[in-house]
Amino acid sequence: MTVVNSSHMNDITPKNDFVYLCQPNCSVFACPVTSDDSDPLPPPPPITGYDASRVEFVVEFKSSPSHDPFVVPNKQSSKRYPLISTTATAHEVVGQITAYAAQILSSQYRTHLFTILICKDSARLIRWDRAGAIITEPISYDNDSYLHDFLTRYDDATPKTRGHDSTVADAHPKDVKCAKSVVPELTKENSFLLITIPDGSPTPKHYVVPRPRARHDIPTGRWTRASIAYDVQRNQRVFLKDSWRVLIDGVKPEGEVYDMLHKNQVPNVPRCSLGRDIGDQLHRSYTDTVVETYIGYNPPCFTPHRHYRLVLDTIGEKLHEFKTSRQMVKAVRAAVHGKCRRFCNVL
Amino acid sequence: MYSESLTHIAAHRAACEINILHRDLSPGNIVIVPELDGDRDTGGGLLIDWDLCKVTDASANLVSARRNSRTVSSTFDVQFRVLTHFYQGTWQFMAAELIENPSIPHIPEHDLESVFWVLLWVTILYIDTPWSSSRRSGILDVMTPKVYSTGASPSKLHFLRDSVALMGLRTRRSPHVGKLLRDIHKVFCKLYIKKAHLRPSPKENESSDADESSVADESTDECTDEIGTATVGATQSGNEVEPEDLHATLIDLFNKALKKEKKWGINDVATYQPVEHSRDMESAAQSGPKRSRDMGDPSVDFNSFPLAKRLPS
Repeated sequence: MTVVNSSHMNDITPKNDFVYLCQPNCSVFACPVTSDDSDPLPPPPPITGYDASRVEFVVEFKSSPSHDPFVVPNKQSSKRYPLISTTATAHEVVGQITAYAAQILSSQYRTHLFTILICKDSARLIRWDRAGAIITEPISYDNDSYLHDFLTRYDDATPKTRGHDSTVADAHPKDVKCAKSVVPELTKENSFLLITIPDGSPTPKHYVVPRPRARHDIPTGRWTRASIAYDVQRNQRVFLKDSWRVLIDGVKPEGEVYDMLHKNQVPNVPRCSLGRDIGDQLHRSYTDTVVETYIGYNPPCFTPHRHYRLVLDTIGEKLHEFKTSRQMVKAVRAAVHGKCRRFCNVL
Repeated sequence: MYSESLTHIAAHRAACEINILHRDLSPGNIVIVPELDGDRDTGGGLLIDWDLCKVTDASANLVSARRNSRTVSSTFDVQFRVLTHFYQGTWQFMAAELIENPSIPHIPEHDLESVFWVLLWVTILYIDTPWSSSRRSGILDVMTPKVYSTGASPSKLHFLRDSVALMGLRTRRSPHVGKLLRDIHKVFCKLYIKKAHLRPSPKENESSDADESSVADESTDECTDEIGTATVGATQSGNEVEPEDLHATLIDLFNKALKKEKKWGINDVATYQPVEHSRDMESAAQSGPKRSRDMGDPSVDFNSFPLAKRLPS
């Protein structure tokens, strides 16, 4: 791993929607892997700035113990956020590390992410996923070995354990060429990923999508990434939705909903060709499973999520990009038809 | 030309045998498609993003669906609402009643009310009207309740009950759009005024819920026999609109507006209409419906943290 002081580096994250610069004090990058592959991908460019889409994790330093934003829940702490100190500084620090996490989690395909927060002589490890974040108790790194252990173990860990999504890889130039010739929307993109979806057959399905944007949003939730994609198998343009579906009783996976809608001939819903849960247990959020143990109850915001991908063969245009208002009104009427609950006798 | 094919009607009938609540209607979830897909009439639009929908048993009729949702799933509904609308940022399109009282279950008319908010949002932001930018901003303010203010903002409800709220909203190049919006507003206005009579004080939730549910049940029983024979327009001419007729009423209003081919702009392409107000609101509006989120909660408002270095604007 390479550790760099990024506190004064330019934020060179590509496709960045953030309105301010993210400059974490330290950022850690993986060393280029030497590959014996006969057809290796080009090595990553040298580090010339802070690039959230390439970083492994970040370390933020605060000079005073009083800047530590986290507290042991007590009677004084906020009911809504029992782990966060109520001071203004605490909110600022939480906001700052949340922004860093959001930028990394959105510009990469990640199952989880670690952050290190150092407040003078104690450190906290933070593990982010789509349900929330787990924060360690302060680690006195001069006396305890946990921080050191974390760093050495991280160095040894596989990309999967580090939180990289093993079902996403750089797209092969050959596939990119086909994608650009079939999908006009992809011609203006310059970096592509290959996404895999198992469909139960011996050969999982592959799709070429553009690299995701760094989105200014809170890191938790469904995190839907919708892209117009290239279906490698069928050589056609499709709509691919990558999201972390909520695991709540009564909410079905979207693919099953489409099956049901189609079976019942509900009009004006798109054709869905594939919908599957992705990956292993790492593709399920973890924070929600431990929250009750530590804070004594399970607030509704810690919702379990499961990584899910869906492929639609029908692709529409955005409602607010209509050519005529008549077209827009028709689309809304169609949607009302689509969600028809009971029979209505129309003209 | 705008009449529906038999297939379409059959599809409606089939669709209605299952109760589906989409629950997340927003401009981002309605897309425009060509009107013909092969020889199939698509209606020109699709409803997407069904990943938060709720499906009740196919055999369950509305009465039991209502009862069921009132007793079994209210905790779930609240949890769900926090999730969908706060975390996904689609509060703007959520029914006024749900915002006012988060503990009531989501019912089909709430989805239909979202259709009104969607249409209003698109019109305000993308169609030329005589309204000033501050008036447009005012509407967006109404649509974006402050989640963490003490008690939910009642302004959305006031807006719907205010019979002249959309007065002067003229869409010059396509007058039907403004007319349609005003007509739909009228429908919800009547509905909410009626509900206000049923429920004198929003604080007495328990008793008023019971009242409302018994009234709703009666009207449902009446309507159950009407499936397949309900005629549009009948509901509209009367002074009262039952929630059960809402779907037919809305479709009828859309059909009426679209039936006339005159007075629709030929090239009135979506044109962003600037709003006054904070930069956040404007950028949210410009970058699309999913991006707006109420930032009233300090702990998630990392947009305003001074430690993260802002670019000079």
